[in-house]
Amino acid sequence: MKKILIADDEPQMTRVLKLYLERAGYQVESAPNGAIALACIQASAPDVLVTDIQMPLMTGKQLCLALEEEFPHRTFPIFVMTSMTDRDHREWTQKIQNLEFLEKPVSMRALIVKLDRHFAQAPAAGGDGHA
Amino acid sequence: MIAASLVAIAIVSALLYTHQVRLHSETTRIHGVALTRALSGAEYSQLVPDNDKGGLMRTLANVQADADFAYGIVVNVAGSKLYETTSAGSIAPAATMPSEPFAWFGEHRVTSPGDGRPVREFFAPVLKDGQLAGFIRAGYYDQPSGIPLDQISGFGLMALPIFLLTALSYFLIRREIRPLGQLSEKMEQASRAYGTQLSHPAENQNMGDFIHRFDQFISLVQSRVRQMDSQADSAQAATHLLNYKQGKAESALNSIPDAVLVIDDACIPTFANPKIEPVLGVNRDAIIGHAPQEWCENKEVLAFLLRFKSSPSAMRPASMEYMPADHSDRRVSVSAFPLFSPRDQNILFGMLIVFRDISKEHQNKQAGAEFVAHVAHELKTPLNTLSAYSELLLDYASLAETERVDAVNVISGEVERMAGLINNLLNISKMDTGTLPLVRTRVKLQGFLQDAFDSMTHNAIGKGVELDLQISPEIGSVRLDKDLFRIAIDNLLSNAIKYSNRGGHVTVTAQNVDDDQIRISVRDRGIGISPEDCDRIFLKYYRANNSETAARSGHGLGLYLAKQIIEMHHGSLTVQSEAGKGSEFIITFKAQPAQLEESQAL
Repeated sequence: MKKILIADDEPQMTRVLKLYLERAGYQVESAPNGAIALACIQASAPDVLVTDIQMPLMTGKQLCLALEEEFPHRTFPIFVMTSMTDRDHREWTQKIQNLEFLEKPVSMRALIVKLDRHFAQAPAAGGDGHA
Repeated sequence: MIAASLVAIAIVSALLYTHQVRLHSETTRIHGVALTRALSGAEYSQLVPDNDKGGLMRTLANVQADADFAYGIVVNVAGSKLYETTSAGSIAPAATMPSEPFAWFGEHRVTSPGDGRPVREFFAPVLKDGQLAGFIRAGYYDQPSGIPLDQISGFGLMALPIFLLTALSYFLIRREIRPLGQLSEKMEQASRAYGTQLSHPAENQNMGDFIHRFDQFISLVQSRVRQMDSQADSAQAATHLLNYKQGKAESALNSIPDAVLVIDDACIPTFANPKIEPVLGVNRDAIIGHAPQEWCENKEVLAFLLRFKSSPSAMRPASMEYMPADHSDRRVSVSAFPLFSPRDQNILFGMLIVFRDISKEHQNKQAGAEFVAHVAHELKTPLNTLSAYSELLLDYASLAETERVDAVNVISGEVERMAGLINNLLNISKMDTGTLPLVRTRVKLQGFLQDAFDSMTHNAIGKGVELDLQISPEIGSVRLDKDLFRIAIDNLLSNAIKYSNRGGHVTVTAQNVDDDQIRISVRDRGIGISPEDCDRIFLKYYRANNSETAARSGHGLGLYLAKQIIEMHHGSLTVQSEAGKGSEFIITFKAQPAQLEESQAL
C-alpha cells in the first residue's frame, strides 16, 4: 500500500483528505506543520508528500527546502497545495525536483486521479520511496 | 554789451562836447563883451589911428589871443569901415547898426561871407566929443574851430578806462554768465526730456528772461519731483504688495509637503524649498544658483534635469521615479512642469520640479498587491475545505452519519468564516470611503468584554493558550458602537492568541484611569513585535515579514481596522512590545461621552 503524507494545519482539510485517500486505497499519515512532517519523513519516507504552504513552525516552503538539503536523492514527488497563483511565490520551486502544484480549491477526485496516474506510470519510484 | 559800452562812451563824449561848446560860447561872450566895452571907452584917435600903425583894437585882440577871433572893425554911423583888423581868411560882413541908444550895446549873429561860418558879433558905440561917431564890431566864430588836442586826449583818458572797464566787466560778466548759459542749456535739455518746452527760446539771453525761465524750470522740477514722489510712493506700495505676494507664494511653496525646485532655462536652480534637503540630502544653499552637476549625485535625476537645458521644446511636463541610492526602501517621484509667463504662453521662465517621497504610496501599493494575494489565500482556504467536503458528500452517499454531520458542520463553519472575512473587507472599504456610521448604544462594559472573551476561549484552548480576564468592578456602562467595538476587541484578542506560543498566556484588563478615561489592555507573551514593525503594524495591509508571521494566517487588516474603529470612538490604540517577549495593545477612550449623552437623554 502506497503511503501518502499530508502536511496541513487545517484539521478539517486533513480529515477530508484522509477520508478520501483511505477510501481510494492509500495509507495516510498526517502532520499539522512542516516540522512534524519532516520528522515523519526522517522516520519513514512516504510515496507522495501533499503539503500546504502556510503552516505554523515550519511552512511548506521551508519543508521543501529542508528536504532538498537533507534528501538530495529524494524520489517521491511533492504536491504543493497553493492559492498563491502569482509567479513571485513560485520562484523557489524551480530549484526543487519533482514538485507539482495543486491549485486551491483542490478537487479530491482530481487528486486521486493524479496519484493513481503517478503510481501507474512509475511503480518503481514508489518502491524506492520505502527504502 | 559792446553797444552799451559804446553808447556810454558816446553819451560821455556828447556831454563833454556840449560842455565844451558852452564853455566856448561863454568865453567868446566874455571876450567879445570885454573887447567891445574896453574899446568903447577908449579915445576915438586910439580907435581909428591916422596911420596904419596898429591901433588899440589890434593890440587888445592880440592880447586876448582868442583863436576864434574873426574880425574887429570900427564903422561910422553910416556903417562904413573906419578901421579893421581881421584874422586870416575872415571878412567882416556888412551890418545895419541900431540907432536907438538902448540898443547901442549888444550882440547878434551874422555869417562870415568868406567861409560861410556863423559868427557871433559883439558891438558897442564909439563916441567922439560926446556924440555918437560909430560902432565897434568884434566878430568871433560861433563854433569852435575844433576840439583842442589836449581836450581830445583828456576825452580819451576819460573814455579809455570806461571802455576798458566796460570791456573787462563785459568779459567778466561773460565769464560769469557762461555757466548760466550752460545752465540754461541744461535746463532746456532737461525740460525737453520731461516733454515740456520752456517759454522762451534760448537766443534772447537776458537776465530777467533767464530768471523767468529758471522759475519755470524750478516749478517744472518741483512738479516733476512731486510726480516722482507719488510714483515712488506707489512703487513702494507695489513693492510691498509684491514682497507680500512673493512672501505668500514662497511660504506656500515652503509649506508644501513635497520638495519643490525651480530651475531657469539654463537649468540653474533659482528656488528650492526646505523640503528639498531631506529628499535630496543636499543643503539648500548648495543647490540654489549651482548647476545640477554640482549637487545631484543620482545619474537618472541628473539626466532628467539636464534634458530641460537642451532645448525649449524639451520643456514639457515630464515625470520619473527613482530609488535613492542610500535607502533601498525609499522611492521618490520627480515631476517637472514648465513655467510659462502668465502673459505670454510662448515665454518660458523655466521648470518647476517637484520631488515627492512616494515611499509610503509605493509601500501601500505593494502592500495592496500583497493584500489581494492574502485575501485570495484567506478566501481560498475555506473554499478549499468547502470544495473538499461538498465533493465528499457528493461522492460517498454511504457516509456514516457522524461523518456526514461533521462534513456539514465543517461546511457551515467555513461559510461563516468566509462571510466574516467578507464583512471585514466591506467594513474596511466603508471605513475608507467614510460611509461606516457609528451607532452608539449603552453598553455594560463588563458584560461586553466577557462575551468577547468567552467567544475566544474555544479558539485559545485549541491553541493551548490560557486566557485571563480582569475587569475592575467600578467600570460601569459606556456608549459605543457595540458591533464595531466588538470587531476591534476580537481582532486584538485573536491576534494575541494567534501570536502566542503554545502554553502562552493572554491577559485582558479593563480599568478606569484619570477619572473619565477607560483603559483596556490585551497582553500576550508571544513572539512580540520589532521596534520598526511597531510603527507599521497599524498600516493597512501591513504584515511583519518574518517566518513567525508567515506561519500564521492573517490579512494585515485586523489592527488597521481596530485602530480605525477606536479612533472613531475618539480613543487611541497603542502598542508596547519587545521581540520575543510579547506585546501589549492598549485601548484608551473617554468614558465621559457616554455619561454626557445619558444626562442629555434624561
